[in-house]
Amino acid sequence: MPSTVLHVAFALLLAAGLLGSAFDRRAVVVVAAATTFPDLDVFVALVVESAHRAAFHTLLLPGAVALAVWLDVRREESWLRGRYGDQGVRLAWVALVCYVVAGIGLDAFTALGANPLYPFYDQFVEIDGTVGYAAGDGVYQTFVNVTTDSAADGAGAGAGGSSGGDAGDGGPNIDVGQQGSTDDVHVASGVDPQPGPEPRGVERVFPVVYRGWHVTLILAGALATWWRLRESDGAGAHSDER
Amino acid sequence: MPSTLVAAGLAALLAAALLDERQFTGRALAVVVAAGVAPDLDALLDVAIEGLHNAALHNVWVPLLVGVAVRWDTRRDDSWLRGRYGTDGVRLAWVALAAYCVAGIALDFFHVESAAVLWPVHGRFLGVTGRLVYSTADGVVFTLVEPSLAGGELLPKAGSGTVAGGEHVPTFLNPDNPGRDLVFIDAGWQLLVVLSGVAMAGWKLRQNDEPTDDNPTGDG
Repeated sequence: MPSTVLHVAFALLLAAGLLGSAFDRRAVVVVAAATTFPDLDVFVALVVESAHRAAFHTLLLPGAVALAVWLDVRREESWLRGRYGDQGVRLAWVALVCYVVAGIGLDAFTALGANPLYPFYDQFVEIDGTVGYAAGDGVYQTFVNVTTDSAADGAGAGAGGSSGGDAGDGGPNIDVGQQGSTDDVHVASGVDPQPGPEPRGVERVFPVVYRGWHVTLILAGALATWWRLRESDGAGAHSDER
Repeated sequence: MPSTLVAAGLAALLAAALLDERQFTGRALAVVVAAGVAPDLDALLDVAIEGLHNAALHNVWVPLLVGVAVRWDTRRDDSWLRGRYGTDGVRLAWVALAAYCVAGIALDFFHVESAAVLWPVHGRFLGVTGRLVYSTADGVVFTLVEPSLAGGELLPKAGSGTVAGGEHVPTFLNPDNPGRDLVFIDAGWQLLVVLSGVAMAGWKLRQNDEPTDDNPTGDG
């Protein structure tokens, strides 16, 4: 369960790389907001059952925004460029990348996953596995498991692909970590810990750090932000003097 | 421990984040990634002297000594580093040092199979795992380190093995590892870090090759 702090830290690490010397305080605010936004679907989950990690964790939403930005900036009279300049356009693209990679991606690549095509195809996908080399077997990977139907009867269902959709039609059963639809999967959050109405006094958990590696990524993001802001603030001070 | 490949991915992300566009060349990237994976070379020493893996180079003293040396050198008027490699070289040295600490050491330190970060002064393998959450039932729960006035373990979840005591973080290089498994990626998030690192490095290098106003020929 990556916390908002972790999402934002990873996004700022990416943004520092993508923006380089254009990384400033405005960029920090915009990128942090874009990356925090998908997790606001915890509030949607109060109304629509189990909508956390689905409603705003769908790729359709950043896809639609990307289309809108693209259509706008290719016009002569681009509103975005007219209002915020070329740097604003660049920041918009970077914020979208951070939305997808740090906001949605970090959830999709950890336990329970995200629901990338919601609401058109309601399926949580958790991308998780191992890639390695074993002396006997050569290079192996467990991210995508393809089984034929006969083998899938026992093993595929046990691996969590039971509601993967394709079982039983005679073709190969492809398991990329399907978890089931919003009917089966409820990703708990502090706002909406259980499906349906919560009993009084239910425990609500708001994580900041949940795993050791979260600390490493937060460290990296904080280091990148501090270093970049020190430079951009320094550059600003110099230009004021001139 | 997260594999060397994951350390390389995180080092590439750090290089992109901390170097300026102009400084992000293939050579600079190679230096930072090499620094990020350098601590894992102690797996080689482990073949000779059992227990040195995640100890010999995974300690705070190596980067501390290098950091003091770089700082001492660059504060002098006739700095060797600046004279030889210019101000870009000084910047690169600091970024490489950051990659060594974060991608090389911290990635293993904040993990169950941990690093002997104080070796050889203190030989215990220390690992910081745990959580910081706010729970409406338990309040603020902080279990990364557990200081207690009554004494007791600061890091109860870390193993109590020491380098001298024969504790040994397994590596595929060491023949004691049955089957000699070599794991490149052990979890979804590690794949995401590696993919992000590769995509970021590729994109930044391409940006640098494109001709710009400052650099009309497009040479790095």
